[in-house]
Amino acid sequence: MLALLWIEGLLRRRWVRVVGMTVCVALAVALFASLGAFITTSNVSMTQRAITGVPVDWQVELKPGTEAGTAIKTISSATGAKLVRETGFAEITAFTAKTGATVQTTGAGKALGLPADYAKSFPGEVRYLAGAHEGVLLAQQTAANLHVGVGDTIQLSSPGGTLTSLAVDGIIDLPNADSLFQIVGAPPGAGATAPPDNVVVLPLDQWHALFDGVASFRPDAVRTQVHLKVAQGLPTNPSAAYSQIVARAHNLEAGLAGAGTVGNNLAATLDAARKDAVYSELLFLFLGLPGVVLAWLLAASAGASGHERRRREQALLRTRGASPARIVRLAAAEAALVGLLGTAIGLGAAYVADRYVLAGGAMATSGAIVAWAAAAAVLGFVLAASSIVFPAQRDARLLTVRAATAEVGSVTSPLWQRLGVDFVLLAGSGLIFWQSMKDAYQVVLVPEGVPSISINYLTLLAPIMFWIGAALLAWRVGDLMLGRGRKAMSVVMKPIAGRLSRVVTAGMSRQRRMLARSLVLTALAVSFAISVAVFNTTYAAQARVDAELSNGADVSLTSGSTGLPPSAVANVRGIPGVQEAQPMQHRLGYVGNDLQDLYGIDPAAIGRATPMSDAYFQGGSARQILDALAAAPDGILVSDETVKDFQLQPGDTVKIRVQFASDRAYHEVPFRYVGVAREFPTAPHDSFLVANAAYISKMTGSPTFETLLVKTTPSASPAGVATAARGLFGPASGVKVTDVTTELRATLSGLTAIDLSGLTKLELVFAVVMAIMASGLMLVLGFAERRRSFAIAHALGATTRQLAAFVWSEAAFVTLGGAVLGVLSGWLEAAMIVKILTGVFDPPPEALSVPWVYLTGVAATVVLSIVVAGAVAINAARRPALSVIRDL
Amino acid sequence: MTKTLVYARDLSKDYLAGGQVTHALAGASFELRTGDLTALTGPSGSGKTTLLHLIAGLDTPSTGDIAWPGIGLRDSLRPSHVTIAFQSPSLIASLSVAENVALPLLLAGTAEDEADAATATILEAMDLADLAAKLPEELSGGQSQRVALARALVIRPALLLADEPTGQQDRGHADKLLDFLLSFAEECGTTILVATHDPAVAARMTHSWVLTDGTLTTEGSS
Repeated sequence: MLALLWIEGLLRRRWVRVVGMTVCVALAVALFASLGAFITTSNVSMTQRAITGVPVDWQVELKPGTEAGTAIKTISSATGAKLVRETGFAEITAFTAKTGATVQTTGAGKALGLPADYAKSFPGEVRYLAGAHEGVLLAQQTAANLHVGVGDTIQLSSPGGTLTSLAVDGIIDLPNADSLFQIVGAPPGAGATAPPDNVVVLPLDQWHALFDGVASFRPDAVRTQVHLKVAQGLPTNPSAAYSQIVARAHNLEAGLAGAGTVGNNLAATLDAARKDAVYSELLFLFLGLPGVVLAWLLAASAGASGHERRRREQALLRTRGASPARIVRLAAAEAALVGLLGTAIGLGAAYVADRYVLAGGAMATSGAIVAWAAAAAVLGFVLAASSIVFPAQRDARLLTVRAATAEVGSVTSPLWQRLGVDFVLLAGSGLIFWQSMKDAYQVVLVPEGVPSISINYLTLLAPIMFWIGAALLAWRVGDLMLGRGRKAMSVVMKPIAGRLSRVVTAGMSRQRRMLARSLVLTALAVSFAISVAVFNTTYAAQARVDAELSNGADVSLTSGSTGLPPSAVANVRGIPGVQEAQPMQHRLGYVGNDLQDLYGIDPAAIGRATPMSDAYFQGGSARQILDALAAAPDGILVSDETVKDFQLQPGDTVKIRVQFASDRAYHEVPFRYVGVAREFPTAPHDSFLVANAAYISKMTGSPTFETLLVKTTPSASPAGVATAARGLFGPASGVKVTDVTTELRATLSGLTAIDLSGLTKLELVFAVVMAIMASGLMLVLGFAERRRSFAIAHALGATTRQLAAFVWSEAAFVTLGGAVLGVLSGWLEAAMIVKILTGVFDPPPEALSVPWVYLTGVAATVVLSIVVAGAVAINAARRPALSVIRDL
Repeated sequence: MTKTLVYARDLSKDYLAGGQVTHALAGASFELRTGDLTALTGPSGSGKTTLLHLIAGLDTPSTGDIAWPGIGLRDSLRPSHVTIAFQSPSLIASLSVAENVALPLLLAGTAEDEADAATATILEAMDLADLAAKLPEELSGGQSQRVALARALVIRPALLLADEPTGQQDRGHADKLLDFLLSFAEECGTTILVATHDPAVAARMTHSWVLTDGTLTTEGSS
């Protein structure tokens, strides 16, 4: 009963504080639950995208002599997979075709036997370009090599010398040739193998008829694989899904008792996804948790702003005979009210954010989010209890009635300040950061093919220690300014407080604990807004760079080994909206046994078509490295890994085997090592080579270029230019045209990049709300608690201007101090997070990107909230409530 | 030659509390002249504090007129001409004793040095100099009340309104305080209106007003 009366009284007379605390609790709950939704959504989408992006989950290669029908039955029953198909792979020593008066003969290739419904069963594996969808289907590149089309006849040379003539029914493309022709059972980390240049696909029966006989004398030349889809019922978390799919593959191999080996394409894709999943959790840690902690601090501070009044109320209750236990029960009732309202509002806000900002719908669809919501609710109640009950309990236990009536608390330095914990934390943070950065460092290490994930937790301590250390240092600075620096502050405050500056500063000095708290909260809110905004903007900028890097340029045209026609450059340059088009060779070359992509460029001109970032190179700027390449006609840029593997020194000769046009065989060509390339447009992330196109043309006898990089004018749409470029080449040409806009969409929603857009919006909104809460609301609550002091000043005859001097002096101290310290710590925090999470960026950013518009908006919002808070306080002080006057 | 400082006719003040109208003051008419030393007595809740607030310009009457012909308009009463010492200790918690006392002077635009000197003088005169650097929370109830009175006097007002100024003092301190107050009034020409329950205080005033259930009865020299 007393609790109900107490709550009624709170809602009637202390509603500002109750509302303030409720909003803070709601903020923390909403942010926590939203971040949970983000992680859940990210995990689900990463796993789903990994699953849907793999055309064939497993390629089970059967040991020669194994009966396919029996193996399929075993595989079907062991995996429960409904989609299981037999395929055949046979070596072809040469393809020949006679067109007109000429005869074309290619090198070795493969004949693939596929069942009739294969393309339908495994979408994405076969793409029809021309002619029929069944019968003898020739790969586009092979058709180009042989100069044949639909209806022409080709001849296959099988091992053993058998010649088979076949009429071509259709032309196809095999987009996933790398995985389709993988060496099943190759150890993890083994070098990549190039897919065959020449491929013919035959109906499975026809394939058996042609090659079953070959198996008897050349079993190594004929292989049977069982392709299947097994992704049903996998966990939503990529790591868990990876572990399960690897274990299931091992289980099947055990069941096959050596008769088959699993080529686990799904595991390979999930292997990459689980790294992204870890990064998404780290982003939660770095970008989300500080916000939750800040909301917690705000709630605690809102509770603490009523601390003096509550102490007096406690004293009154105790003089009326209330026991400490009863006082704590009353505080618990208040905490329950705040916790209940805050949690309900917070979860509601999180639901709205999930549906309309994150657009994940995780709350509606995922069971995992229930755990997050429950945790958020617990957080809400714990937060309310820690802000209300624990202080009340401490006061009830420790304070005498006399002490409880005191209005200004002790201003002795807290223990951490005397021990210099802030300096220790900042120094520790710097040390850990420096130690981590001086070595080649990765915060997350996911060894290929190994289930365990290694996270460098020590490095994660650096930003956390910095955050706490910076907050404590801000407190120390605020305390110092109002303590020992009181005289100086008095001079600084003269423009605002005039003749009252000494008294105003003296009052502020005695309340420096409260003001330092407000300053720290403002600094943390500003720091949070800056670090989140700078990180997100840098991330978005790098996503664009990544998209350009992946796509090569605004628009890029690629073809197979036949290359683009020489006229393509001039034709594409003629498309409206094209600013520049630069050809680039894309060949393959063997460095030792390692097959790498080799790019032939014109170093002086490539930068006109696509940005050459300094981050692409090592040991110098982009300009310096490209100049060095241009100066050495036989120069070559290699990866850092290659430099280490082969112990290369600048000027060393590197012999690379590349394909010659004359005999289509690989021959050694000497190159001179001139520099290191870390990234390059269209290049894969691992090893690749960059050399002068003129030298490659001269040595291989082929000036053909396979890629055309196109820069569009600022006003032109890359997608529009891409459409126009597609119109120049027919669909059967095999020329693929892609644009950066489409690539950016794919990157942002893709597996290699965590979709931060929803999280970004959410956090930026939260940052603004918290900045308002930290600055405006804290001031309002502080002023509300001191309305008696303002009423006394009013009764003594203070004018509105003089009352304003008190208000604006405090507001200026909190706002300016908080802003300066917040900007400084926020910037450093952002720089540290960007550096630590380098693995999220691809390539690493050269500099931080600053979202000036957003930050100006935050600054304006903070100033506006301070002005509103000040105006409310001045208005209330100018006309104090009669009840307050009568209490004097 | 004395002049009228405050003049009121048919002054009433009603409060609405809990849906009920309380008549705190009903048709009070009075005049305060320079040099008057007036005791305002009456039982608790009779409207004494309300009347002081109306005279100090902190509150406005529901009906009736009040004017300050010897001082000026309502807006110019505080901090220089009319000061009030409240019933409960009303020091600003975050300011020291000296800062609390100096505040009215600073609010009135007095230079810091002058304000400091005047503060030191009044604290010395009221035996409070030892407490100058202390915070309100470090004072006893009686000390706080004396500091509040010092703050009301430091500006040498034309009219001092004191609400139970000896309420928290022992007899010895109360007598000393009253002695000081009367000598201060004589020296500075300050008019004093004291709301009190203490017959000893009332006995030393030149005029006596009695409030009973909001009705004021004024008498001449006691």
